[in-house]
Amino acid sequence: MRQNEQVWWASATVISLGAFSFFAGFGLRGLFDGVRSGRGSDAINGYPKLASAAPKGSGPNLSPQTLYWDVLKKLQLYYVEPLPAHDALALGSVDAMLNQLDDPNTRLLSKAEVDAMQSAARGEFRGLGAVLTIMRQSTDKGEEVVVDSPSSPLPGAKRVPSRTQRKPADDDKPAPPARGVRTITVVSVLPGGPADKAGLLAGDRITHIDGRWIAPTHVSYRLLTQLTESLGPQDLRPRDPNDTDPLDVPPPNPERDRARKEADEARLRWKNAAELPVAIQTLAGGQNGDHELTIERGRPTKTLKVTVTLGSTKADVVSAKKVNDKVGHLRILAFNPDVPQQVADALQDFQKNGVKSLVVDLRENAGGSIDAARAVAGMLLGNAKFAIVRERDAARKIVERTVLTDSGSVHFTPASLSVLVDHGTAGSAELLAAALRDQTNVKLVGAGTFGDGTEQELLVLDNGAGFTITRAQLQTVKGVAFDRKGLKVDVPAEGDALQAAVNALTAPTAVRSANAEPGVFPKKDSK
Amino acid sequence: MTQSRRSNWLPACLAVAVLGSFAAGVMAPELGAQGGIAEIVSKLRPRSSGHELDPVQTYNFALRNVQDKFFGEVQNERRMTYTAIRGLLNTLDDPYTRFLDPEEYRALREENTGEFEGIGAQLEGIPTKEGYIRISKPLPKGPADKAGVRRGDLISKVDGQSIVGLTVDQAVKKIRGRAGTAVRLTVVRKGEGTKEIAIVRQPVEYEVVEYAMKEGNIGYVSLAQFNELADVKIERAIRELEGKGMKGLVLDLRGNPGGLLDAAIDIASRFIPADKGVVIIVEAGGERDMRKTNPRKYLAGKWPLVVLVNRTSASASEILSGAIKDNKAGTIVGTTTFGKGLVQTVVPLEDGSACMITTAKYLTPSGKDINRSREQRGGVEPDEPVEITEQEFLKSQDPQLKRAIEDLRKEIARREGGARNASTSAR
Repeated sequence: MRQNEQVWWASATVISLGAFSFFAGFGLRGLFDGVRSGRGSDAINGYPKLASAAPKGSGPNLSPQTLYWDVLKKLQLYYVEPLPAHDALALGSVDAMLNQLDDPNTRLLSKAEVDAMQSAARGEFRGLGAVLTIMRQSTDKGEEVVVDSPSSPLPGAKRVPSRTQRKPADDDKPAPPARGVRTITVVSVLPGGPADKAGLLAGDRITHIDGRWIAPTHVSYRLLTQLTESLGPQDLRPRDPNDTDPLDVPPPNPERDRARKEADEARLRWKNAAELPVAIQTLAGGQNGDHELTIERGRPTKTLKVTVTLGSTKADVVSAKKVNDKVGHLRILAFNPDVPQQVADALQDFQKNGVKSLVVDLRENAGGSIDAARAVAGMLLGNAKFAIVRERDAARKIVERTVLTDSGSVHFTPASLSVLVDHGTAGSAELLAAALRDQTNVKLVGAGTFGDGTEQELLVLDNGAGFTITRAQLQTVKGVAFDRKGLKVDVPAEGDALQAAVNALTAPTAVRSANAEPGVFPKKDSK
Repeated sequence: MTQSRRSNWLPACLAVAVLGSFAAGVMAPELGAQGGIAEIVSKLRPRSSGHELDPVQTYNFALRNVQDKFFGEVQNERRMTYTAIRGLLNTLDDPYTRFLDPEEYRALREENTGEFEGIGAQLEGIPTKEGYIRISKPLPKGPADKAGVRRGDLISKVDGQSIVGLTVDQAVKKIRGRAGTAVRLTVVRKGEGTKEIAIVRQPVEYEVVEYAMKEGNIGYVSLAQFNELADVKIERAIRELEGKGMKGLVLDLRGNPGGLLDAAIDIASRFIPADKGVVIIVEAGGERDMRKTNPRKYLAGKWPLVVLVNRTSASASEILSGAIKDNKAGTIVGTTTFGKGLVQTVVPLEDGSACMITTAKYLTPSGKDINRSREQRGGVEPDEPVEITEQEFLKSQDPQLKRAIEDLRKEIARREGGARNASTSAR
């Protein structure tokens, strides 16, 4: 189903997800392997602090850093009102730069989001209890381009024929192509959490919070002003009183009237909107309590309203149960740095208790750390391939790198194996599912996966806020790009999916040792 | 030091206020080159030892990381820096403080110099049902007039391109241009069919003040813009109308986008008695400067005044109407004005870009902030709100002017009645 959506999927990523509440994400290298920090001038390539003179250069050769410094200095001198705090100025700049890249998951994160991520890594899930991401989502009116960039801030504004579309000042060149509106999207739902209790499903799009439309961006007064100027009512100057020629009365123009009405409604919608960053902060656990969410589900879209009670949820990220004497059910809800140890413990328990076969349950697992997932892969596959990562090298050329499993001391070779997935299986969980299936011929059971094939790095700033950068694309070991597509299952299952997975248990074929391939080595961190 | 320097340049740049699409931008004296570093540093907040971000370092940190790591396409450092600067300015939540990259800055300068260059014709505000634009008035002896354009001609094409579907504003942009260049208009004229007329654009000197005597000895003066000649021309118009026995005056500021601050103060002095406040100017740092009327210019007193305003009356128009309202020197009729009480200065930057910064704001003499913002609608509210509908426009009706004249008639009658009563009782 998702495959047919006209969405800009580049997003589905877990870092932002975790931000929300449920879990932290993919490539949380920034978070788990030592946070990169904006502190101190070391990171700044020797750029002087504000209190010293700017490096000089002049004319067109002036360095961009000097230019920025110069603008700030002039604002401090001449702007009529007191300036906002340095934090706000700094984050405003970062926000604009990241937004301009037009990747919904390369974005600024508030301190609350970063905090929620960090607590999720400890197993405490705040707020909604769902992994969320931001995706560009089109409307059902497929051919209509709906834009959320400031260059055309009104969905519907393009169709207004009778007003000038003024080019706004912060229209950056080249104008990003429009691919739908940035929308908060549910990746996976923590079982037993607030979102689960309210009936949210993976793939749901959250469009309103407490009745307020969630605007895709910060609604600045400048933006509202642009709406007023391009669409607002205008006064007619009276005609020259000496000119007595009658004017033609324009015939009724229902098209224009409709467009104007839509524009008026849109303007009101923007004016009263909840801003996306604020909505995320709320859902990430900024404020507990009841909130009404408006959800769009599926295509064609079904709209429903649910009330969620935000709160903190403790959850076992790894759970292991015996289905019967021989078959164990290993459920992993996320990949955080503690998961490999917990999985190792669970597998050793199974081994002691005579469990021979294994259902690996990755439903509602939105991913997380790649390293954690490839450690789990190493326990089941030994030395093998885990994924293919496409990233930029120092010259900004795109290079491909094969990532291998992390084969530690614990190994569990099941007599038979199946992997359970659903719409909420994303990111490194998808990589694990694909690595198991592609190299051992076991079956994927359940429902098609989410399709998050990007990796983000989180960078945390001095004041606790942070930002994520999409730094790589991920592919399965066979080189299949699954971003925005997801993985198809071998055995579709509804209802008792676990039983279907037990029925689908297959003896894994032997995995060729990855070390046999020359020139491919596992790397813990790419940089 | 800073203060004295500022007071040198501020009056100059207060001259023209920028208002959205209505008026051109402000050209201020070059600021970039002045400013000793030391002086600026003293105004910066010290970098806190806590966890406050330093904007320059944070921007640079993000820039480096994006350039090193981002998987998608990135723009060059300069473009990204422009974006960062725009983000910085966005945090002020002031729609008028904005960054102009070199192309935008160049366009602004050209727009400024080209403001009064065109074909010299007034156009009707609504296109016809065919989508044509009607010429309501070619300026006498202007380029269009000389080329044979007549009132009532319908423009269908500009330089061979159809304008059907465009708004009047959009069409005007195509028609306008630098002096010396030519534009080819295709016009439809009743009874004569289609004609092509080539017009060489020229600097157009249009009358900023127009005046007439209406029925009942009511004078009507409209002011299109506050330029250097505005005050003198207003004075001349009023004196001539007085010579013809004017008993009341309508001052029409509808559609007037503003202009020179000094012109607004001079003209306010025509209508407001000596030594009354006209406007309070607040600069960076909060210093307030009350500008007062010039007593030698006062002309009113003998007759009542009604001022017409609408949503497109802005800036200097709002200073003038706000001052008249606060000082009760006249009645304001029409719709609430635009709400622009801010002054911008264009600060050129070294790489050819520029920054338009709000450097001062106006308050009315009673201290009211008329600027439109997130918090308030702003603008000068009319004492008597009157709208013009599209239907009334098409029928050439002007209910705002009609109300102004009615008001004046009543006031004149009241004053004459009062005078008669006064003289009666004196006997």
